[in-house]
Amino acid sequence: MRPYQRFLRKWITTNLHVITKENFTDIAELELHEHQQDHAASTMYAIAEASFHPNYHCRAIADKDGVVGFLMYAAPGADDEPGDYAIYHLMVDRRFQGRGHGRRAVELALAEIQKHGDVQRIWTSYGPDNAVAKELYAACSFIEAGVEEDGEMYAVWSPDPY
Amino acid sequence: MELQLKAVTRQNFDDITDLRLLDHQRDYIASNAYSIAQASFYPEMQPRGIYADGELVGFLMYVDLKLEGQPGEFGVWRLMVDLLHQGKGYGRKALQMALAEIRARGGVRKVWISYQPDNARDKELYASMGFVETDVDEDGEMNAVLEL
Repeated sequence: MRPYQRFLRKWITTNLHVITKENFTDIAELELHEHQQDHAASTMYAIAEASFHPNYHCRAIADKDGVVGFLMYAAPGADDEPGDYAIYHLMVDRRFQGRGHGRRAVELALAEIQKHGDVQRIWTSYGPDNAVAKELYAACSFIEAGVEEDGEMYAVWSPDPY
Repeated sequence: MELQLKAVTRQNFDDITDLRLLDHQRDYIASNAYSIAQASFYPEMQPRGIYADGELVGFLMYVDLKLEGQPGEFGVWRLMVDLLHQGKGYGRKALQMALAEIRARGGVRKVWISYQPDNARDKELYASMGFVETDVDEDGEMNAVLEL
């Protein structure tokens, strides 16, 4: 974490909220930078997809004034390894980036996922050249596992064995 | 050719979000992913895949306007046909089928639709089906209504 982020963290709050018809419009209006646009469509896709998969959980990332981002986590489905969870579709609006929301949100998601009780591993993936994601997930104790055939770098978090 | 409307499900939603429009058409309509996401919070919104002889060719969504305090009225909020399948009359047939579904609910008096006022093709299509233009709303869209 950079020194200014440590400072910001003292007075910027980050929360995760369930998505409802009340905050859906705010999520639809989240914006990304031009070079991040590929991710923008994926937020609406994720909410649509989650509506058909009860094991997918969408969350709005919010500060005290409202919605600033989005993430989704997946509990293991019928075809998945038991205990294998995943965090997908993390995004923070371009107007709110650089304030530590992404990292706080991942920490909150990790805490929420661990309440499920059977967690063995939490996976995520990002473009291998995405330095921001790499640093963020490394700071949250994810360990890179390698690039898969879909071209994505997969990283995994495991609970402390002690 | 047989046209069918099918509910959006876990099996077909991915293909529906992959349907494409021509560049100049994209500004006029929310993405299908947006519509399906939105509909998941509103039972009043009914998204449908449009199928021609079993092949997915488009998407539409109609809405019970009791959602907006207009009971007895419906709106067709989205209607799109994939760029590879435009010009084959699927839009018209799909809309007729949606109107039939809406009628079958009973008690519906009006169906609303809106489009860009300068879109001659939409104007002609909806006029030929009995929609009557009412006004241009604050978004610059022409509203038209069909009395059932």
